[in-house]
Amino acid sequence: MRALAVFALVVLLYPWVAHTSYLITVATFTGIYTIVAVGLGLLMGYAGQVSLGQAAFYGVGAYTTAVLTTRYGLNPWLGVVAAMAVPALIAYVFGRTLSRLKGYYLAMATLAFGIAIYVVINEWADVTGGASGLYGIPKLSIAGWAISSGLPYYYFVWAIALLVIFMGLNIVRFRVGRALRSIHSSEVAAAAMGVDTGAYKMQVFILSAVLAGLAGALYAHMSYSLVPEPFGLQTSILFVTMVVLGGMRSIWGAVVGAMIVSAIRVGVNWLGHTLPGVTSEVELVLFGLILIGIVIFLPNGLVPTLAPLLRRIGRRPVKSAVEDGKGEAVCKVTSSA
Amino acid sequence: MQGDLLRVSGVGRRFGGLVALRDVHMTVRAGEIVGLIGPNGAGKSTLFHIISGVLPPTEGEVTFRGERISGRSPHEIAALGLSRTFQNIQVFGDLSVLDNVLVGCHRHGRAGLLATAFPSRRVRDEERRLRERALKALSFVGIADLAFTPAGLLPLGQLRLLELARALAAEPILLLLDEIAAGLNPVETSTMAENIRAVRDQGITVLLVEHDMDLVMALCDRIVVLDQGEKIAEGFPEEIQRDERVIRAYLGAEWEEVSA
Ligand SMILES: Nc1ncnc2c1ncn2[C@@H]1O[C@H](COP(=O)(O)OP(=O)(O)OP(=O)(O)O)[C@@H](O)[C@H]1O
Ligand SMILES: [Mg+2]
Repeated sequence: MRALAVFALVVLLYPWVAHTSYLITVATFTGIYTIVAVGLGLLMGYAGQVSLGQAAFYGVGAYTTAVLTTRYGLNPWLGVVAAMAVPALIAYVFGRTLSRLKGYYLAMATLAFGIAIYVVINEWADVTGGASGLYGIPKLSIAGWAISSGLPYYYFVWAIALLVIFMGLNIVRFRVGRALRSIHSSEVAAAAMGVDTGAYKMQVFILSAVLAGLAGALYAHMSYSLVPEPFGLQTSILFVTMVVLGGMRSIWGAVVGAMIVSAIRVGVNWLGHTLPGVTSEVELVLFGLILIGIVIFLPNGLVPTLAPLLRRIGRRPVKSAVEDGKGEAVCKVTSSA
Repeated sequence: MQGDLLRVSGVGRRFGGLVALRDVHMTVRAGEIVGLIGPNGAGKSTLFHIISGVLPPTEGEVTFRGERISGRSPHEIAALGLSRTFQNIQVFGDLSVLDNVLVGCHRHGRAGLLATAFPSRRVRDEERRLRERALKALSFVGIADLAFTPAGLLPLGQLRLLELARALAAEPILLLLDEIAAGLNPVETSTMAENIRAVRDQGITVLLVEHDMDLVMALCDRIVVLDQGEKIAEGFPEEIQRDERVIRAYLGAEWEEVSA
């Protein structure tokens, strides 16, 4: 939690360092991505499930509030609530259908779902505006003051993102998070200790969908218009990359992943202006390479690999009980598993 | 038959063509230490898996505290007060020793996903209670000093103690121990025997599978013998030691190998 306070300070002071509106927008996006990544990190790292359709929940969230507020004049705050409720419902139905959420079923099903949603957003033009887009999305407002884009929206998004990080850090610390971590090592032992593994996997899946929906709503109310393009498979892969890069089994991993991916996108964008031929396609290739590299060289991701090193630098080396009797035990556990 | 804590009635289990258990009947009464023995492949672990809900039986049924539990999932059975350890150690290797035991305490907590996201006073109090309970279980088996060690780093003897502590932290009514002393040296084995007696003295009923005959004979009030999926004998330790069929079953399976 001390790390969270330090990080909040960084978020607070960032605009003093980076004052161009472009860098503020990028950082706002990073906050939105962080919200998705924390949810996906919980799903992948703790519930042991992969979703390749997180961009679809993100898109459903964005379009739910955009359609309800522009076409039916709904209050934008209620739009945000709806943007979380609809993905929750979809995730629930998914979980139910795939009753036991085992193996790669969820990955495959969410992949198909992601593609289907993208097609629906594009084709259902009467409602979504199709490829030409949906216009006139109202701003969120607090006590009559609209949260305008730029700096106010940056702080607004990050306030929510920090709350989501706080939530994630707590979840993994207490009873349920512990149970989820135990499922990873031995599902059979976890169940024998009374952990309802199926129910927890379902709850985390729903939570990840709700967070993606929330992020989508924040995205929608950030700008005046909405087009289908950001909600395709490419974005789903982007989210998975963030989580894998930063480290699946770490909330901070998701945050760091979101930040690095954003930084890379800024870099690619900058190169695109300087060198002809560098486009967003380059970005996708780059993320593919990062995924492969991480899986091969840093299977735990950046944060879980680097955190102990940082901690060691911070402290004087102490011979702890951990270091005693290291060698033989490790191989015994793995061989009996 | 009213006082039976656990009743296994006509339980059978097939794996494809292989019959691992055939028409097994047995009971465990409250307060007993019952031994389940038999040569390798007799079906002892399979019976434990059926009782604890890991596997469903293909025939017959199991009742625990008068309720039918066969066909229910492991976590539901655990909630009724049945806890167990595993022959092939199933410790959560990347959790600390304390966290392992805290998962054992899981059924004594309430806090759900959303409650822990914004932990109230109640959630924090519950966490403190669970930690006390977990530390108590660790002290009981004598490894409280290892609480913050990653469980994956423990040597075998302590892994077995950790499995016992985790199972005890659930505060079960019936405890199943599947070869909890396997691979332990004589000193560790006698410590384990003392632990098991102490568990029983706390009022917990114990059903255990064990190959070390000295340990079984010294600990158990009653013994059930399985061979090739069938119950071939049941009785007091002295009776079992003299039983013709038991001796033949063990000789057939090569005594050396079994007692090793
Ligand atoms: N999941 C399974 N699939 C197929 N066969 C199995 C399975 N589990 C057990 N068996 C078979 O069932 C029989 C009984 O196995 P079980 O593990 O219950 O024996 P055991 O009495 O515990 O033996 P040991 O003393 O070696 O632990 C064996 O022949 C085993 O190969
Ligand atoms: Mg066995």
